[in-house]
Amino acid sequence: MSPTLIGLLGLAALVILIFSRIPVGYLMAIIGFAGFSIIVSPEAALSLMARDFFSTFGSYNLTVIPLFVLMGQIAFHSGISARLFDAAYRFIGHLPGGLAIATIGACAGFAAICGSTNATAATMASVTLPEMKRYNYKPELATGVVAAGGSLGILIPPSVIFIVYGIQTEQSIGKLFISGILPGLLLTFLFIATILIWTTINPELGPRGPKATFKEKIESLSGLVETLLIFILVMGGLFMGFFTPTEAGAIGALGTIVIALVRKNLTWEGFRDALFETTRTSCMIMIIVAGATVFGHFLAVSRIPFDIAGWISTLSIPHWGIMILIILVYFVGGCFIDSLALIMLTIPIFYPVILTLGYDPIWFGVVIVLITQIGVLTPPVGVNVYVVSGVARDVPLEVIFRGVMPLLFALIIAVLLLIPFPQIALFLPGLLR
Amino acid sequence: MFKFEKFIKAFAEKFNWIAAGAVVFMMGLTCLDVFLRIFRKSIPGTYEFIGLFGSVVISFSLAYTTMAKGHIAVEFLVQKFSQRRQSLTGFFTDFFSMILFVVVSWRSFLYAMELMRAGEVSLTTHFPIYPFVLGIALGCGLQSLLLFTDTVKSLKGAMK
Amino acid sequence: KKDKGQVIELSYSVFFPPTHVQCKAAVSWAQEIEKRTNGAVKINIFPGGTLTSANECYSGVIKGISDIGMSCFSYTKGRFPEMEAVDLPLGYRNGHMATFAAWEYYKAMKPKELDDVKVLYIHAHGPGLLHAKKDIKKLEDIKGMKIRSTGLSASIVTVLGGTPVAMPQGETYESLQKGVVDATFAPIETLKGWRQGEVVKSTTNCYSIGYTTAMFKVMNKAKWDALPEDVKKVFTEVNEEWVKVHAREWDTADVEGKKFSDGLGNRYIELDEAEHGRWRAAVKPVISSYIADKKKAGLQVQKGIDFLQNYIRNYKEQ
Ligand code: NA
Ligand code: NA
Repeated sequence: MSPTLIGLLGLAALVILIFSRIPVGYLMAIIGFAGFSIIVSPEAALSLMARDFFSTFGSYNLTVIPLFVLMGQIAFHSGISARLFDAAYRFIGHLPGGLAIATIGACAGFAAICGSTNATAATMASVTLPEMKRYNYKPELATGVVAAGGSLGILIPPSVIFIVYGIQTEQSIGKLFISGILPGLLLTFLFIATILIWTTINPELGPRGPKATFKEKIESLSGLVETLLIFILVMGGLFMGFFTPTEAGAIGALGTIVIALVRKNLTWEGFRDALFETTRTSCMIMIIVAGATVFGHFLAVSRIPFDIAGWISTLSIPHWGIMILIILVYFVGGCFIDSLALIMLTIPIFYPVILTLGYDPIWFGVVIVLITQIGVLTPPVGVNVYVVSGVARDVPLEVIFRGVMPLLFALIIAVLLLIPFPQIALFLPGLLR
Repeated sequence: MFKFEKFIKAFAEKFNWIAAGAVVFMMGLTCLDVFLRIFRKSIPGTYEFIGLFGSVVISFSLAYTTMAKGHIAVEFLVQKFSQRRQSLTGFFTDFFSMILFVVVSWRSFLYAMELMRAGEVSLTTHFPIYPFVLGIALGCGLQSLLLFTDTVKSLKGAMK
Repeated sequence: KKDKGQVIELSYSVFFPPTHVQCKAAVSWAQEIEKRTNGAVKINIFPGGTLTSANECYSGVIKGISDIGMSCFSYTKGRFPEMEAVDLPLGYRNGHMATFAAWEYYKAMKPKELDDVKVLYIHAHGPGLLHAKKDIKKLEDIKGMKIRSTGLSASIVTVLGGTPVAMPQGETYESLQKGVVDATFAPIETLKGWRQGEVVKSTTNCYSIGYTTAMFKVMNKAKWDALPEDVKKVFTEVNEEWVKVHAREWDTADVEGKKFSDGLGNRYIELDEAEHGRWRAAVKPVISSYIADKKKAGLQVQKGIDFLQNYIRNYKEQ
């Protein structure tokens, strides 16, 4: 059997066996292990597993996940997020899906301090899901919104993927960061528009509240103080150069604990629960990442990503045809492989093609980021959906996947807008130098 | 068997306290390092210890997460099965999951021994790496035992 | 052309990202091997750590995860106690010098720590220099500066009077921009390769304390032993030639890095001979503590240090 065939069989096995109720991370590790054993050798595959688990668990870059999740958990257990959402309810609760809109806004704000899509989804899920539930929002809308909102985490700087892309393509990381801002805002706007349309068609999803009086609105503003303080602490510290984006998670968590303690809102039980939820959520995410790493290594030795990329780069069809094929590769690939690994494997082959076809490398970076964010929301391996499902244990996975669908359209529209209007990505970096 | 399961679960919870302690340690160490930087000082090795303690968080929360049904699976198809068939699929998935973690535990142990013999240490403080890999072996070992009790339970359910 | 069954396929894990010149040199090495063996050998390259990450590359080769691997000795501290000597701040002036010092050192010392693999060749980057947001013209300017560094370079920063701050290379750009760190310690090629030239203002050419990072290219021993003699011969020939290629590419990369930095209007600061002497004296403890540490572990490394210092002293500019 050729490695390519084994790779395809592995992909098929993943798609089928995922329905057996085996945890997704375990399944990817098992299939990855089996495939690697056949293509390379059992001894190599056994050694690979131990190394992949250790390198994932011990990755410095991934430590942002437990720390940001802790920050979100403390905000929930001390009532900081409840007060934030009570204030938001006074202001936009009367709109259809008003709190879902507030959630998207919160995701966009959080994206400015967090560079990881998974950490954004996990943190915002623990902060916003209980609040939307409190106001009788349907789980479909609530979970879908927060899973999709995670993609803002990677588009609005800081952003892990832009750093990797910038180094691989020798593009300015500063310019890439800036290029993500307008598309990030555009996506925020598209998400909000989607929520408005969706909840207008189906009002039970996010029931409208009473219109608050001016006085009620002003009074509720005090509920924003704590959130504002935390945001200023972390944003200010990042902007003033006191700490790095990875360190921001620890600062944010400690800052939230201190504020909660000063306001006497955090009990020992609340703190313990927050810690236990944190370890559980982080473990759940990291097991999926570890499994995806083993599976990704199997796909790498099957050489399928190289074969497909190599094949496309030699096609003699119109430019836009090749562009569409490349977009399709990232779209489908994102359904199976972690976006960073996918970019590492394919950029060396696609990047020269993109340059030959005359596309702007910065623009292409933004497009890839958007497409891989579609990947984290689509089955079978939609990591953000799994993350949200890990926080909302009472919501079945398929309900979240259903809830994500309308917002996926927003993501696709954003990609479709970027193709005829590259200025959306290129306007701001063009102002530099 | 019931006693054994209770024993494993008590251990899983104790291990999770270690994981929770590691999260607090990571937070405290990072914040202290950032704070000291204002005075142009730093704690050598903060960077490497954050990564290494990150591995403690995950290894030691693994069994607890399994116990709390925290790992994500696609459930809707199997949910439509009869109780007996659910147990039967459960037997297979639990069994293969157990094998997975037995293998990871065993190979992590060997990897730790390799790192110990080779004398690999962290880059700045020269702290040995192998204890953290042993931590994974330990966490995955406990996870295997827990999955073993699950496998036995599903088997009993399937044979009913 | 050979039949498919006869072709020896080898996997090659390279930690450099695919666009890095050193990765391109690895690709050209593989193509040369394929060409000179008339297609009897085919080498599949996995760049950017897509098969094994930088610190797992070596043990991955031992275990057969990849057949060939290229990474830095220093990423697995403690595993290569004798090769560590090469990385010390001995005053490498360029990449050619560092590469050949490392390669000749290996051939002369044959450290036992590398016995579990077949060493194809070794190369090393040009001098690690200081790149800062404000000018460093003398030793005192470093005092209190926060400098991005890890491992060995962190201990150099400490003896020079700075504060070492460790972070991933990918985070260094933003950290320099925002002022989390004031400077970074690295070969000048990183100013272009990692775009850090955009966020620093000057480079101090402190080559007299130039350290390096030696990199290995090793092969699984069983795989090597199984190669036919004529193929082994091709490998040996090409390896000797490619040490030169890597050396040249390191220097070209440094020239490109300087050009990139100059183009952005950054300053390039030369130190006078007296100042060089002070820097050299300042880093002496790093070298002597290496010797003392290894002595404690029962290793005599003085001979190796002497070898390297002699090599540097007698080196003729190419
Ligand atoms: Na972000
Ligand atoms: Na997906």
